Amino acid sequence: MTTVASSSVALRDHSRSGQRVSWLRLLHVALIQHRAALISTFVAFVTLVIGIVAGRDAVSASYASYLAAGCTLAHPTDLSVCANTANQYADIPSFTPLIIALRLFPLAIGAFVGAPLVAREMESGTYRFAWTQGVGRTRLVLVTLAMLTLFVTPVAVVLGFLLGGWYIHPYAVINIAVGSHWRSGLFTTTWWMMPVWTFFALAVGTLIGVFVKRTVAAIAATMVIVGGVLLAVGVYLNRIFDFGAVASSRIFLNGMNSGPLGVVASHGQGPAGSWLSRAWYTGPSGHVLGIKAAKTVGLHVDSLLESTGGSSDLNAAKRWMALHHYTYWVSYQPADHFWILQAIVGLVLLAIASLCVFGTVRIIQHNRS
Amino acid sequence: MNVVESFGLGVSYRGTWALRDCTLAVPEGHIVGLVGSNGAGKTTLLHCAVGLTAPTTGEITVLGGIGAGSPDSLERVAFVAQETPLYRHITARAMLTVAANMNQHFDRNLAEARLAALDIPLDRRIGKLSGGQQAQLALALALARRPDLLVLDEPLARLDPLARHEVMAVVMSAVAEEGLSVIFSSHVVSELERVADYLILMSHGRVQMVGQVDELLSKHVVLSGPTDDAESVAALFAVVQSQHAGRQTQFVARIDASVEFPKDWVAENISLDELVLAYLREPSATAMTGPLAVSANPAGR
Repeated sequence: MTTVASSSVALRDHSRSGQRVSWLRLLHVALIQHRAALISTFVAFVTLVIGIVAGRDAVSASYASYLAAGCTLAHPTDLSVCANTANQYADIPSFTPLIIALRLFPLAIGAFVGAPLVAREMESGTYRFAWTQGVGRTRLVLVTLAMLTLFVTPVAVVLGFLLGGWYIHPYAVINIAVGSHWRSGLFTTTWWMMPVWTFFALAVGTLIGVFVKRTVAAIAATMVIVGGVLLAVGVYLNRIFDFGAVASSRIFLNGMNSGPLGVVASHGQGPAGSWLSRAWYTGPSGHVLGIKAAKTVGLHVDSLLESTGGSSDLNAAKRWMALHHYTYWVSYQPADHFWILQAIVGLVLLAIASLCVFGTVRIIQHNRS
Repeated sequence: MNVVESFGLGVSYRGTWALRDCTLAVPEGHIVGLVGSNGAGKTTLLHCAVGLTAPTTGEITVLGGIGAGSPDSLERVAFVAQETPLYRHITARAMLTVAANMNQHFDRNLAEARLAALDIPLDRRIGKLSGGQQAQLALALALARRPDLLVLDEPLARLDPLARHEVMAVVMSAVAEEGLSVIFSSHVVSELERVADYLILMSHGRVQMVGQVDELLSKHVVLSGPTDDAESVAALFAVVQSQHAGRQTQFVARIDASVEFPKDWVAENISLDELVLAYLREPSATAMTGPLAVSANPAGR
């Protein structure tokens, strides 16, 4: 077949093919389009910083009173004066809401910044404008996502480091009741975890928006999915802490229970700042005792501890165990493993987030309908 | 050069064909009217041409063989979508900035001059502009890209008669000044008749009629005569549509140049409105008078 007829018109400038819009100009576009999201994020950031600073002052005052009472690591917590001060410390009202707000920060970014990124364009139909401009849809979405990432990441870094640097220290020193940076609320929000979770939520939210194509539905789906992942990591954090844990038969606890422990080592129970992950008994042949047998041994050890009349006598328990060739094992994460574990969890989240960004771009590139 | 060429183009949404076996070639320099009933596939065809929708089958190129939706085509094809979707929460001025920064070659002065001539306030949020002003803004943004091909999807929908007139005046003026090609879809055939010199009629996802308007009109007539002879007369012509009213029959028929009309039958010129309606009422009828035939390898690949 042949092409029939063609009328001539004035020659137009076709030399422009190959020239591309600069990244800076696209950044300007993204700033205009997402101004509301950026302002909201900044307001949330300022609010959280104020909360952290105010909370820090309250914690510091309480910590000072704790030290003033002569309560340090050398003093057992069952001294009533220290226990009372510690309780005041744990009851600081600003702490729990602040931690909750900080844990929700990545979720909010994913839901209210990531999810609408593409979903709003699809829902309002403006994608038909944006994706037919010279810049092309892939560059536009990538630059927008990069701009939002560049904005929220420093914000999250500041929040994570403020919390990690100012809050952790007094809690780590006291090492009681309220726990330490190993606890899930702090492990998943402090230091680099905050920006990592924020980027993760942003990337997952964006991908969900591409699939769902409706803003409210995408926000809801992001809350459920990212919130579910956050919750799951919190719930299963102890299993994560089993990874690479060190086993020791030299740690003796007051209860000497077997199974998951999930406590901070304190008062000579283990290396300072370490996280006691799991405990178990082995028998004369070195095999791990089953639940029932371990419980029986544990109850007998407990009775030996109680028979000393209130002050724990571990030596009696140790002698009995040595006599019957039982060994009590505790696995723990040394303090310096904190950074390694945070890095591992962070890298896994970053890998998933990168896959989400890749998936978003691929879908936008190829699913043109 | 053909500004749009498609070969065996088909688009299916979850098993339903919105566009099927669409093969056509639209030469440059025309104002092309794309008409058809609701669901005929007009928007799908236009979305394919601007790269918003990927073909399920076949292929489509623009401006002499450039892949639709490719970076080169995006630089040279401007699109105004149905209902002119713009960012309603920003001002017209900010929208100009957005469009200027999304395109390497954007004539902001041209856009501002057009908007000033139309008294469209640049500092007003787009959501607060009237439908006609939004349409004019979208059109000004598209024209400021200095495209070789302007694609308009139902630009006149939602507009009052005055706004329709003004929008089409801007399009005509741009065509006259810059020689660009225009494809626009519309339900309003009377508007088409005034401005379009090339017509594509679509029905049920297929191209039913395509060609230059003058040529299409010259090759169709309205024949009126006695019903008694209708059957024999119908055998002489390609009847597109027939209407019987008692002893009188009326045909819309496609004719050759040298045709002789039967005795007792009257042939009258047909209007574009009548022609379009006749074809829409008979989806099985086709007329391809223009450069329908395209090369077997339209992309030149």
